[in-house]
Amino acid sequence: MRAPPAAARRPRHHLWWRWRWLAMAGSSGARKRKARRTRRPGPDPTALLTDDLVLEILARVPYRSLRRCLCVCQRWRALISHPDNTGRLPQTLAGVFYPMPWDPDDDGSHRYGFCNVSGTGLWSIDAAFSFLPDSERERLFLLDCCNGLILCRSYRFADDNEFHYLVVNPATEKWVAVPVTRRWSNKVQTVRLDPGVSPHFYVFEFQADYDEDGSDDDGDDDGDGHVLGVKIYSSATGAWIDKQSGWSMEILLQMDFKSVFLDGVMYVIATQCVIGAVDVMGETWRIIEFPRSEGSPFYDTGPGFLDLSQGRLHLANDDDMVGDKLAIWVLEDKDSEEWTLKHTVLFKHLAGGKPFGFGISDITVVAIHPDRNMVFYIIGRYEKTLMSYEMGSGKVSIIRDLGRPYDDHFLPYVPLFSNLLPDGGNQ
Amino acid sequence: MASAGSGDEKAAAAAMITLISSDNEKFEVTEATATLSQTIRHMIEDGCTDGGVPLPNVTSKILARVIEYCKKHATAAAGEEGSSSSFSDAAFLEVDRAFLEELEEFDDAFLEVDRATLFDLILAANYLDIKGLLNLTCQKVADSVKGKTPEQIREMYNIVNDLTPEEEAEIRRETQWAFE
Repeated sequence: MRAPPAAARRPRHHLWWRWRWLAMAGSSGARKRKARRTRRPGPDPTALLTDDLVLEILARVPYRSLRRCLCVCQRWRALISHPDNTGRLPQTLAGVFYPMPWDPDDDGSHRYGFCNVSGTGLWSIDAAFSFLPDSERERLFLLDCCNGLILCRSYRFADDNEFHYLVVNPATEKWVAVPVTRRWSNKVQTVRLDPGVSPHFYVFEFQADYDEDGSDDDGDDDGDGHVLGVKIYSSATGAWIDKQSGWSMEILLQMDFKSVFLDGVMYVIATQCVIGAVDVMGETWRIIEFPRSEGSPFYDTGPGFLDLSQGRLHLANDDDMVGDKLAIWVLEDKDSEEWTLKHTVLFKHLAGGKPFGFGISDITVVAIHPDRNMVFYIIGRYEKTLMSYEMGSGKVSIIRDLGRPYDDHFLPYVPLFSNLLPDGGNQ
Repeated sequence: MASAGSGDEKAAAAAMITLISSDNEKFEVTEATATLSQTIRHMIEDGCTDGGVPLPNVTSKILARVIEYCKKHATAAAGEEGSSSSFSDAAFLEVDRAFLEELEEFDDAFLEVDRATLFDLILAANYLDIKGLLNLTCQKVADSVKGKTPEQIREMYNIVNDLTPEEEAEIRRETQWAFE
């Protein structure tokens, strides 16, 4: 059994320990551009560029394409594979932050581990965040991970319910605090971090329709928890904006599932089997229905897991025909609502011989690889194991037994070495 | 063409800098425009801009384009500075947003150039140390590489394949998934 130690002091609806939010930021430079192809032979313009300038270009190529660039010529191969250049070039999924099993002798703080999934043994990440001051580390909760930055809440204040946000880059060990102190409240429901390519990030705080103190015994209406609006912090302006929900329906956010940031728009999963989308200005609000198979016998589908892979929105869900498979859908054009069924696989196959119940309740998708056709998931109700599945070959691999993690809050992590924190970050 | 910024009273009132291209064409620009280039900014700080700034690595054709970029972005930067002291609410963000949209449109149009010009702009942005322009132009090339096969990339930029078939096969074997 998990027993969040601090929860006893907190109101019933307090769900801070369940948050698992993440987005792989889309490249903001991904505006549609016409690829030009010139037939006429001529000089190689890249020969004019210094190594440094070729790297400037390669640094902006997505990881999957970068692997292909290895095959272009000797010069590119040497530049991409040189260890000195690793930090400058795009990275792919390195691993997953996971909550360590709860330690009864502990003081109630959360501890995290880092599980390398890159298969290279390259990454050892300081999951204890020992580079942070002790005061910030003592009661630190990882909320979200996006584009190499991790958003945390630090309950560092004398008042147990007071916290502030930290944005941390574990690869460079830099961090900044978002200049606001909040009291914990049900109303502040979801926090999201959306760094783009520019040295700025956004923090989204969804405001939910809950009673202020979250207690049951005061006789008033506790609210149903639907999203009322959003507060968005921009590190560029240093200001929060406050917008009312513009969604065409009342939605409750799916707390245990991550969301995605793509081209300035945040996508979150709602319990109503829809995806809510809102831009960083809080002005454009959109609802995207979950994909459904024709002739599906089910009234509703599972909760779904949203991720960004190869630049497109992916949704992993129970299949809606029999329900014995994991179905992976792709929204080829994010502005449309046309989902394409990319892949299905039996849950039984994913279990890889491990005992499991039925469906997504025992198999939790924690990441879809940002560059590969690969899914990472946790199997087991109490004792959990991190596993991977390759869609192409059907190969299932056990990555690590995680024991009994404190909660279901897993954060896939893609390192970022360039400095994306305003003012270089604190040290 | 040579007197970029003439006719603009505000600009005329500000300190002017003369830039001289490799083919000896003179361009008069405001200090605000010129200092988007860190290279020129340092020259101004060192007081060595009297009599014009010779830029032997940049042709007049490319310099004219670079100045066009700098003028636009210097205006935007000035606008941001001007309002940041008093910003407080949505009104500021509205202005900010309009600026950004306009700049984005400008940048997109600015990048509609032939390949040779694009690479000349990269070299000029690097030499003049204009971060925004370097970012923009390198991103344009990176976008053209995105999703392409090695063969398509070589063809696009006339790059000679000097890898042995064995080397190529080895790379493909190591990260086969990237080529699927």
